[in-house]
Amino acid sequence: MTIQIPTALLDGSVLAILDSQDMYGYLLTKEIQKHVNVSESTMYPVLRRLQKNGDLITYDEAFEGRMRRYYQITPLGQKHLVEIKREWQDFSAGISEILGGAA
Amino acid sequence: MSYLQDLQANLKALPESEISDAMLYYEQYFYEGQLTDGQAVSEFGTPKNLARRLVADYYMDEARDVPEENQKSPLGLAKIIILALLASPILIPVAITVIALIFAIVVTFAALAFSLIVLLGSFGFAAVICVIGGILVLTQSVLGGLFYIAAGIAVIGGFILLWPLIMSMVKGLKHWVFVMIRWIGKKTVGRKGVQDDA
Repeated sequence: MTIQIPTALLDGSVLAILDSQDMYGYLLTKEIQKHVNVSESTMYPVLRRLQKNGDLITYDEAFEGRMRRYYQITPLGQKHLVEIKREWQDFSAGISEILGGAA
Repeated sequence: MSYLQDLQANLKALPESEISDAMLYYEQYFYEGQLTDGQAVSEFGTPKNLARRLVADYYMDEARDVPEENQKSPLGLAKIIILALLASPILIPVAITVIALIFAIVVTFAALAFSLIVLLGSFGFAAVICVIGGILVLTQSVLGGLFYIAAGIAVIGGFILLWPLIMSMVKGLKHWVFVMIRWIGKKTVGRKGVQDDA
């Protein structure tokens, strides 16, 4: 059985990665996939929604004669990231108490 | 036709700006990943399936994100939810039932609001006729004429007093239609996770 990542955690993961560095779609997808199993087609709707909510902005930058659309976290996105982190810590602590933690 | 051309051709249900944003994303993604059309199919599914998911996702977000305060247009909301229903993988009979339900709610409340307004309007109209009639019979019967004039004016007074109340009732009805439609939308096209089957 695989546990599917809930929307809020995927949002949090995207925001957390972008909080350390701006990224373009392909790189961001690969970065997320290093850690959790999400399908390629999941990412675009997530980015679109986060952008619409004001958590992200985009800008285009030339790279080797082509454009790359970069995603950048906004102060609002950072605020949401803090909230998601806190909720996740509460949640994971609770589940770990029941199921047993990794530590 | 290439994967991307095929994808674009299947996104017609989206607004222009949405299509260009999505296409830009996938063009760049395909280029960065050096994806062949065959690899694209194994990663994203067929262009048609990917397009269908993008369209469904867009309209689901639209339906869910209608703000609470924006109660101006239950019809606009109904339209978005119906589009989302048609684009979503819900079984067609279910979708048709839900659309019929939304339609029934809208028609019922429109009829209610309409009859309220007509009822009040006819009272107003009758009152005006009463006053005019009173004036016309005044030469024959002063007392009768005065009675009709007074009655008409009284009804007009009541009408003026009641009008804002009726209007707020109509507004209230509209609000409830909005809330009901939104509830139906949340139950049918709202989602809990963003994961798909791919």
